Parts: sequence; C-alpha cells; structure tokens
Amino acid sequence: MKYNAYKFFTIGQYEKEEKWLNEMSAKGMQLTDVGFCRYSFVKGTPGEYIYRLELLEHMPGNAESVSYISFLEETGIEQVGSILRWIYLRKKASDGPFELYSDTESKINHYKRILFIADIMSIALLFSFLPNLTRLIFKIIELVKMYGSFDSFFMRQLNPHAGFTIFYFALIAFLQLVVLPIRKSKFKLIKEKTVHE
Amino acid sequence: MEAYALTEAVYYILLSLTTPMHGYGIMQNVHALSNGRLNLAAGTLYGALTTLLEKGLIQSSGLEDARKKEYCITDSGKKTLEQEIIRLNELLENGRKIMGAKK
Repeated sequence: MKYNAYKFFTIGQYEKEEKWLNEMSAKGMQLTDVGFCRYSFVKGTPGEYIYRLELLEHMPGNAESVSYISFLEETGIEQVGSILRWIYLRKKASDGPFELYSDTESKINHYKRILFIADIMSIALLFSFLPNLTRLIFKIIELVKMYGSFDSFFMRQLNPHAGFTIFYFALIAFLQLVVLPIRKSKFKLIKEKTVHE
Repeated sequence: MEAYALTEAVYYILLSLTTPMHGYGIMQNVHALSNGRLNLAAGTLYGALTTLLEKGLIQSSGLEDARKKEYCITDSGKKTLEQEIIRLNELLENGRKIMGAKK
C-alpha cells in the first residue's frame, strides 16, 4: 500500500526536507519513491531508515555518478529515487549514524555545488536583462531631455520599463534568498575550518 | 612530494591501504584504528579516494565496478605517509615538552 504526500521544498531547504523525511520514517512511513513535489511512502517499521539528500556533480545516469552510487551501495546505502541531479538516499538506522560527509571540506563542497546552481541562474538572468537595463537608462535620459523634470507625465512614460526592471531584480533577489541559509552555513563552516579540520 | 599536512581522514586512509582494501573495508578499518572515534562518511571517503588516485598516492585494481574495486597505497603514498609521521612526531614532541614543563 502506497501513500502519496505532496510537498514543495526549495533547494535551500533540502536539510529541512531531510528532517521531514526522517520524521516520517520515525512514524513508520518509509520513503520508497520521489517525483516532482511527490513523495511515496510505504508503511514499515518506525525509525528503520535514516534518509539523506545529495546534489550530485553530474546527472545520476552519468558514468561518474553510477560509479559513485555503486560505491555508496557497497557501504549499505540505498538509492530511493532522484530528481534531476538530486538523489534520495537511505541507510538502515541499525547500522549506526548515517552521514554522507564527515569533514568540513566535503560539507563545504556540497554547499558550493548547490550555490553554484543559484549563482549561474542569477548571472544568466542578469545578462538576459542587461539590454533592458540599457534601454531603461536611455529612456530616462531621453525623457529628462524632453521634459527637463520628473513630473507625473514623465513617470507615466517610464512606468512600463521600470516595471520590467523591478520584476527581474525581484526574481534574482528571490533566487538568492532561497539559497541564503546554504550560504550562511557555508560561511560558518569556512570560518570553522581556520581552526578545525 | 606533499608539503602540507594531511587531513585526519587521508592519513588514516593511507595507513589502511598499506593492506589492499575495498571502500567499505577502509571505513571499518579507520573506525577500528581510531577506537570508534572516527566514522568516515561514504561521500567524504569517495572524494578522498578520487583525489588520492589522481595524485598517484594510491592505485586501484583495474575493475570498472566500484563495488569490486580494491585500493592500495603506492610508493609515493608511502613516502608521503613517512613524512607525515615525522611531522606528527614533531608536533607531539613539542606539545609534550612545552605542556609537560608547565605542569
């Protein structure tokens, strides 16, 4: 008997997602399959598995990823599912604590991988929006020359252009806000690394 | 030649691989060597093995399947380990000398 749950987590909330999956496991709901916003559970022994999420460097079908996943399997880790480059892993709680990374450096690297996605998207948005920004600046210069002041007619002329600018900036700000907790954790670990390994 | 300090994980991995071992074997061996203090996580271990292979400090038996892959230290790896032991000895001697004198 499968139970489906529908929930949405951003990439900045993957640790929260892990926590939720482990809470479900504690209640005896064991994750067996994932889809976009969909989680399939099978009723089992409470607390039988510990779940972890990882962003791979390549897609799961890539040879490097296949080799990595089979390495994980050798250590008793099981892949439950994947979404794009994210994999959902679990290990029997009876095997002891389950972590994917045991040193600061590899934890930082994982955070960096997640931040890289958000940063690449932000830069792409910024570049796709540059022509609009240039156009907006020219429009302002043109209007200032024409009217010589910022009166209401001037603002009405400018509004459609400014609206577009605000939309793009809001999108970039949202993306960066989503990964802000990850960035904070990363900085904390980098600071930690100056003292401890 | 390695000029920097080895990480704790790398030090114990190299030490383990003086006997050829599989990935899981390394985890168990490091756990036992450190009296249960150190739990090498699989992701960290895989990353370390990949880097050590690239640096030529260890080698793997040619099998493609990662499950059957066995790793072993190279001569260069052994030299690195010997140098690290000298360095660690220095740290320990100085620590004991100075902290011991303060007691």
